[in-house]
Amino acid sequence: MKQLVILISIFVIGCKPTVNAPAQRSGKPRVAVVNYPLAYFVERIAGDLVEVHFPKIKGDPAFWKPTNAEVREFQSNDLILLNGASYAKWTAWSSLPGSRTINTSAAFRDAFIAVKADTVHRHGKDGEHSHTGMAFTTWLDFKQAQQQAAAVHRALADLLPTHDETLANNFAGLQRDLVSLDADLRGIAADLGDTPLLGSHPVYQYLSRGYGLKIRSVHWEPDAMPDAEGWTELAVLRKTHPARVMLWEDVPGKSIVLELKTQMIRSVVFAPCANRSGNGTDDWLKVMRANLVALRSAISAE
Amino acid sequence: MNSLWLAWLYLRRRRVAAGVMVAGVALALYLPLATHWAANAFDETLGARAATTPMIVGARGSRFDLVLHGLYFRAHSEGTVAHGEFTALRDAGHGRVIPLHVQFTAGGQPVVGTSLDYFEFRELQMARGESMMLLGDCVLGANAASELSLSPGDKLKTDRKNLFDLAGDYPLQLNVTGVLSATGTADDEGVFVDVKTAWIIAGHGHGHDESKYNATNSLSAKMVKTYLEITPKNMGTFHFHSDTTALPLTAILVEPMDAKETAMVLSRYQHSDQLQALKPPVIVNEMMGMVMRVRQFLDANYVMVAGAMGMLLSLIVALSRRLRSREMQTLFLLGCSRGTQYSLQAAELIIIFIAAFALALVAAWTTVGWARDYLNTLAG
Repeated sequence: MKQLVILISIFVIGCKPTVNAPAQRSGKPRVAVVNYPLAYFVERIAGDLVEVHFPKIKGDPAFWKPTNAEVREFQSNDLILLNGASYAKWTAWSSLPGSRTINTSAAFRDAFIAVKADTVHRHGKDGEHSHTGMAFTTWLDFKQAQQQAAAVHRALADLLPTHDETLANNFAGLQRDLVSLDADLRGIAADLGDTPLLGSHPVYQYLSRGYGLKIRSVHWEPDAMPDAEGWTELAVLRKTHPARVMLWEDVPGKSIVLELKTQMIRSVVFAPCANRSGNGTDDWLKVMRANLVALRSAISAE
Repeated sequence: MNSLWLAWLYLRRRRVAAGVMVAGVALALYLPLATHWAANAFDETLGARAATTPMIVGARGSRFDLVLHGLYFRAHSEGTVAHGEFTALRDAGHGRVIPLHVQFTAGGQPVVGTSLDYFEFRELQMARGESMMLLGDCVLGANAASELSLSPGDKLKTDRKNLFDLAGDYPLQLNVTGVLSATGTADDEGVFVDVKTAWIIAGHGHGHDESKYNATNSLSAKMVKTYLEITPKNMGTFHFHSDTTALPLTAILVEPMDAKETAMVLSRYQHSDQLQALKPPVIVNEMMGMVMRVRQFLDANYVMVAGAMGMLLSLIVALSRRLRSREMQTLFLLGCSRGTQYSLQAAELIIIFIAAFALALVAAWTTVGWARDYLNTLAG
């Protein structure tokens, strides 16, 4: 009896999947992405033809630190889409299969914006990080987003050669939306003219350059009341940059909004939407449209 | 049949003399046999490796060196090709493109900086452990693992190129994550790392060790450690000082999708002063052509040796007939005809030749079998 138990134990242990075994597959090609904009582009272009692998990440995917098992999971995908511009720093320390890995911003890599030495800070419970290197919210310039979507389309067309027409039609629809976003934002930018704007965090570099917006940023978090140093930084900044609108990555705390209001600064949420929205219902396009509506209403109020 | 039996009994009685004859003839047969088989095995090995490597791109220079470098990792590479060329080739969509950076060794085995695609390209299977995942990880070829007595979970330091260059490259401690199944090719000898790890070994990138030594004494990691190590703690600090597109590769393996893409890649480098694209099967054929010419020379030599051996044997037979004249006379008196006497001596020679040929075959077969692994790396 004892021997039987031992034999069964050996069999059960032997049959146990390894820790790094990839998750159950649906049979569809799997496409891994490093942020939500890319996940959205894939979902729009390929629809149900592929299974999108965008892990649930708490915080900013740009600074995500995957476990070994999560890196293995990425390695096992049929296509891996990177944002480029040093986004998702973990990809620089990991081995990814070159032939299946596409840098979606390669077409405009010469136009990346270098970020000078930056202070280290943390978002909530996330680890400390710095923005030094390249500005990476490339998709906030919708012309660049169009180029990234085109790169996603090319990669998917190579992956799914028998679905050319479907992919092309879906891509055309996505491009129409991106062109429309671009045109709307240009209209807003024209109305704004040289009006100075504030960014609560240094993530609006491409938005600023792409649309000629005069944005200068501080290092604030929506969920943390800035300390005295932060308010001093803002005061100093406003001496040369008298902005009355501050863009936020997420809805800022009420106390922050009130304090800013006393300083005649309006808070406007312009979310990069690098991660899936908290409520899970607003897709990337909806969030971008909401950004534009919020910005326009802020201008109107001014 | 009686002649063969009598000849066999005669040779058994004179074992030493017969043994010397067999050894002499066997040696004369062994050399051409072993040379032919070894050359054929070399041709097959090199040809098979080349046939599965459609194209190599690298610095302009010796074509043979570049091809041998790409196939066997050991030959000296005359120059480098920028990683940007690799990304340009890959983005051009000609087919599968694989980077190679082979400049360093670890435990005397070549450190092959590449990507995970290499394992798929060569259809390499993992015997133990897993493929590399992070900076500093390495996968060992079967022979490398057995020669270095390493298994997944073990550590391996890269070799320093120059022991007296104190400011030069520092050994990097690699983490062994897997061991490949034996393939009987040069891949068995390799220590495979991600190309980014190879760049760190080469000193193109580095991290910052935030150990207490540095904090209190402001010392470089190089001053308190005799090697570099990439750990989960310091991995985030590793970076390259230049754009990775400018960092060097020693070769690029290309597997074009079809003949048209092959032509496109060839034409891309046709007029380049710095780079060249080569078809390894063509270059290896050219190399083997030279080997075959050497073999023809050796064959001519063997023919002359065989002639000399034949004349020597004739002399030995003639002398032995003279030595055995009394024995032959006795046989004649016993009623044995001259013809039977000749057939007895012919039978002795036949037995000696058969034994010598068998011995030469076994020796040549054993030699080539033993040397096959060596031949796989001979190109380096």
